[in-house]
Amino acid sequence: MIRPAACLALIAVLAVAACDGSDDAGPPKVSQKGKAFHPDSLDIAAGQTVVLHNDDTRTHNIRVFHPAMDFNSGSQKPGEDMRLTFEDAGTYFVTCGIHPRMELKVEVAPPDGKGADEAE
Amino acid sequence: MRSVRIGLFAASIVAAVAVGVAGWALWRPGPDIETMKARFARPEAPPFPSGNAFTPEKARLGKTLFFDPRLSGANDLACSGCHLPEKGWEDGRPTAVGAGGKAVGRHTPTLWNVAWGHTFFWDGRARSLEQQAAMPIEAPNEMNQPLAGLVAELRAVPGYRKAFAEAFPQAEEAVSADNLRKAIATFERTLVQPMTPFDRWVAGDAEAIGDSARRGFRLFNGKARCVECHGGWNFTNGAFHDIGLPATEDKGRGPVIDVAEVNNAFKAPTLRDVTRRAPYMHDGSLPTMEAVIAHYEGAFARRPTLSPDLEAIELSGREERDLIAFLKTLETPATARPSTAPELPE
Ligand SMILES: [Cu+2]
Repeated sequence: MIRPAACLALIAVLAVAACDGSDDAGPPKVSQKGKAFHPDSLDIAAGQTVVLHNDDTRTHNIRVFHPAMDFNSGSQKPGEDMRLTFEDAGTYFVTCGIHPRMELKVEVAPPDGKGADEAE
Repeated sequence: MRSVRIGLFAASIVAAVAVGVAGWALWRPGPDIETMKARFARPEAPPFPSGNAFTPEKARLGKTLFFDPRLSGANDLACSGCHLPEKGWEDGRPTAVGAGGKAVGRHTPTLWNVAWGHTFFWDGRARSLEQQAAMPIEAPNEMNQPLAGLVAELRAVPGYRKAFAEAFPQAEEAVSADNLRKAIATFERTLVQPMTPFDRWVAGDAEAIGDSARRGFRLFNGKARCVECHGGWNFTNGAFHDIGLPATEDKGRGPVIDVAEVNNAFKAPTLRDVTRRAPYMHDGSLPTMEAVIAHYEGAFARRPTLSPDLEAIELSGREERDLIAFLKTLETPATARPSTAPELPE
């Protein structure tokens, strides 16, 4: 007795689930598109790795300037992945050396801390 | 029977969506003018970092230092020697002139609205104004004055001892290189461009700019593609692009971040007061706004590092005039131009 409206709603839910990058299958994924990070903020636990995927049509340069992490990806071409592992708790800003308005805020909780979904 | 009904229902939705998409593609409106204007609304006040909060004493000291030629090795060149308030904080030369009257490699950039900057210099090699402030002072081809020597010189001036102590009351030794940097950076953050006709128009004064400028604003946001890099109230996205100017030894952003793809790339500058800041580009090689438009109409070098955001534009003569009429609405009104240089301490 499934009615069309319910059927469409079910499809919508499935579509949302498929687009949600936070499944348990792997590290959190962030897309770079249109000179912006999507999403533009993340909560993770210390020791976790984040995958940054360049979905853009232009080269990016992933940068982190933080006392615990000074990172320069070099050239990240369209289609390429960069992996960033955050060993220490803290607040980090990931930016791009070519498009400095790009900003991804990463809140890294202590491994056993509150707010972290899981430690790997 | 039910499955047929569901099938028809789904098909009708698909058809409706398809018609909608096709209709949209055919009609393809630009954003309406109010939406466009909203993207250019000015912020209320400049941001100051927590490590260097604004105080009037610091800003006053910074201004004094900025205008003092004693900050150069030969005591003959102040920051204001290249960043002239009456010229939109530039100098009107193709490239700056530094120590010993010799030309510096790049055009003096304006200081309008640097409080909102992410990186500083044409190649973005400084990440804060505090870091930036000392670099032209120490550069041998600019002001040629090592900071240690400068601090000793300033400590010998009673007026500076007093001004530093007022600006940094907590400091044991107020006259220091760090505090000099902080004071100059604080002054620079106060260099917010006054309200222009364009800003008044965005704020709701429908008569603040003319018809030609309004048409130019639409071109700026559309056919002329300027917003690709010069969008937002400060008319820059702060990003680095190779726009196909003649290649030289100066590789710009590439060597700074060690990414060869952005060799020949320089930072997109603000366009505020742009029509008062000729000549143009990091190398000062384009004498007029007409030459700049001709450059973007296809007079640029095609090479592997050319920005993927750059495409040759096509404008009619009238459209070029409209675009320039619009850019002129970004001029600081004559009545609001900064004037007075401070009195220098003895
Ligand atoms: Cu980028």
